[in-house]
Amino acid sequence: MLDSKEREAHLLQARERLARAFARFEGLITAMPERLRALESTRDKSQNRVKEIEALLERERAIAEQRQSLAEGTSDELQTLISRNEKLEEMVGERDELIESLEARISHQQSELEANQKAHLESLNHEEKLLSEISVLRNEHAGIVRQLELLLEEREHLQTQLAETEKRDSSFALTFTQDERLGLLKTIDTLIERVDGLAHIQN
Amino acid sequence: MSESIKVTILGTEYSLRTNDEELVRELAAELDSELKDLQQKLPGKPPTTLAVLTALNTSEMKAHAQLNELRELERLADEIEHLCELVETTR
Repeated sequence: MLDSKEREAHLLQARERLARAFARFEGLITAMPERLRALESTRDKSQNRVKEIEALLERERAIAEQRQSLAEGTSDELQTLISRNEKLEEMVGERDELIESLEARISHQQSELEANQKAHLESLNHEEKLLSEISVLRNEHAGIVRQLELLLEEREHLQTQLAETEKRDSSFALTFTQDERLGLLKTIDTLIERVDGLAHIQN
Repeated sequence: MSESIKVTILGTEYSLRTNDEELVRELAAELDSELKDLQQKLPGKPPTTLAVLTALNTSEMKAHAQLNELRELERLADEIEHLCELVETTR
């Protein structure tokens, strides 16, 4: 329990504390009108800002309504485009299948072409060989023709000789013995056979 | 400006000097009334005993009043400091 002096001391401290608090509060109260004016100014600015924001909101609302209207309008258009897109995708799918089929055909035909080219080259080689053989055969033919011409000339010459011999034989029949005549006839027959053989080869 | 007055307490007249006659007369009347009440409750007791008991009562009342005042002052200081903090934090 506090005695009287202590109570007085505490009361004095409390009064001093209260006086300090009042002084602090008084300072705040003194500054209050200015503070109130500042707050009122802030309030006015805030109110103006609120009005501006409300106007902006109104504009935004109008814009949103326009957008909504546009969105509804474009929704149908979008649906049409989607259906067109689906059809186009279907067509693209069909074209892809066609392209794959064509690519397979091209690949097959390319293989065939390569085989044909190979066969063609082989044919060309064969043709070249055949031409070479034909050339050889032509040379041989020309040689044979030449031989034939020579043999024909020889036969003509021999026939001439034979005619002359027959003529001489008729005039000089007694000049040749029988063996000589048989030998001449064999020679003539041999020549005739050779000529016939050459003629057969030429044909 | 002090003036001299006379008051009667428990049948005895006292000459006093005061600056506030009305207040002193009122306090003297209250003390006289309290002493008379106590005299009725404690008949036969000498006036000195009655005066001491009344002084004790008055001291107790003063102590209670001081404690109440102390609490009230502290409460007021708390509230005002709280108000100051509120005002300062809203700046």
